Amino acid sequence: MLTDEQLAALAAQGNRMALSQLAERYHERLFRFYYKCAGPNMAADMAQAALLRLVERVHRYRAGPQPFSAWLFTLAYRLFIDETRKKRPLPLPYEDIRRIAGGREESAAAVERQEAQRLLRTLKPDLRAMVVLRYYMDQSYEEIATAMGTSAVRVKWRLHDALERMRKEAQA
Amino acid sequence: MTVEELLRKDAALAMPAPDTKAAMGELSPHIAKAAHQAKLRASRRREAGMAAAACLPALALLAGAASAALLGDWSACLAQLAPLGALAVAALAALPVLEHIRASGKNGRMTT
Repeated sequence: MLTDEQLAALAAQGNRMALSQLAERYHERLFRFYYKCAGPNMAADMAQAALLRLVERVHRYRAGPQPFSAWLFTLAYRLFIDETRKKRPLPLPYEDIRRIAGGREESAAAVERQEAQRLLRTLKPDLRAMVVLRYYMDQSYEEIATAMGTSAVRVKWRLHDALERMRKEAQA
Repeated sequence: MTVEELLRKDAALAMPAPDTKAAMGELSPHIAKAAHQAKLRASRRREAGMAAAACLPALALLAGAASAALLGDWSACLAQLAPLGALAVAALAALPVLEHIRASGKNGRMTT
């Protein structure tokens, strides 16, 4: 199986199948990223918009020390920030709590999810995206730094700050 | 439970799956268009590379002629300029052919 980087290189040369495979491979991850950052109402549309950006800009991709996913999440993060600047952010998901808890809203999982979402919601969009990339998308500090156009040290520091804010909010 | 643990626990919970098939269906025409454009870009890059490669001997001759002229060696200067003239004539003759190749490449077919 070809790696993401190999597929991206082929796609940049005009290989339709490679581009299609790459988009398909990342659709769910992009959806999950936007689901947590922007909420369920916007997740599908934003994931689609991110894929469209991927298709339009894959020819600019150059293989480097960072994996392809870091490059793609740079596009995804910028798209998210552009969207939040354009309009008031929609509330984060709450309606899926019942589904996950199997109808019992009191269940521990549902309560924890609700609390996690409430805490995420208190963060500014850029910090929220950083937390989602780290804890939900399992990205390294370096990958997040690439996506956000900053340094890994600054990412660590800002993540620490975000967690501290969430901790204070949880205690309030 | 710490905030970090809470986030990790939440991340491990199931999330609704997106409709990838529908998304890919919508994306398909864009993919076709992007692939076509990427092919055109690659072809243009190749042409630019060929043109640059073709210019190199001419530049070398020009540099040789200029240095000979600076040294006052006019016969050497003319010796360098003569093939340059021949190259210019050849390039002018090749221009319509190159233009034809470029145009047929743009239309998505190679007739030469």
